Amino acid sequence: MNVRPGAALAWLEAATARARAHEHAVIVTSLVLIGAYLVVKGAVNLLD
Amino acid sequence: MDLLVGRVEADPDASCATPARVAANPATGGHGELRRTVSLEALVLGVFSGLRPGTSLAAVLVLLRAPEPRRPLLFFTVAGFAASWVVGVLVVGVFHGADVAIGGGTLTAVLDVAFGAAALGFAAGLQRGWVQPPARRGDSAPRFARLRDPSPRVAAAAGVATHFPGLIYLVALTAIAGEQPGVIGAGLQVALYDALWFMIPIASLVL
Repeated sequence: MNVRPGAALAWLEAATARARAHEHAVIVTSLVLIGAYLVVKGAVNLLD
Repeated sequence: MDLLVGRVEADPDASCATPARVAANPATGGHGELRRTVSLEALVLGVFSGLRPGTSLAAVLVLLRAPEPRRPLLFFTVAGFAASWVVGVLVVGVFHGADVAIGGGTLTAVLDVAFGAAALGFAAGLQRGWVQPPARRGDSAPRFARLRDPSPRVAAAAGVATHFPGLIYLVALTAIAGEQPGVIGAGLQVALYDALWFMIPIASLVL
């Protein structure tokens, strides 16, 4: 197993920069979707 | 929510405790039917956790800048993965045992509502600015200073500390427990989730 820190670091930094540009929207949207799904699923299972 | 791979065949007499199981069915002439059940929720959450720009990613970035990143990154990944896996299997066991004791599905449903409400609350907190993601504080914070040229022990401790079970992990473990897996099935599903959670450090080792 070889580590090529140059390649990994360059790729990660570019990907992180892109992700951080939209981080807030992505995390908030994901949490809302996950939360709504879990609440609905749990409520349906409890009422069954 | 199940992801079914292969043909599904129910056999009430077969051990139904494992998500990856072979159920012998006399109606099919004694040939085993392969059923593999993996929690799709856990898979989706694993991808989300693995790609989320959080504390773990910041630590990996610092480790990759170390003079010789191979060993620390290996210790970081192996120690973090192992600790997360052990905690995950234990939590799945507790959730599953409690769910059986209370009555099939009730605890899972209650936990779904509770975790869902927590996720919505956290989203509201982020949106209103009451909560700040840890990654925002930057990887140059003093807590990462020791990772710039870490000993194996420090790298391993960082792997464990940056993968402490949080809300998303607990939701995934609840989903896995809801599938009522056996010990081996639970271990495999938790390992699959953890592999997704550690996809960035693992990918960094092979890139």
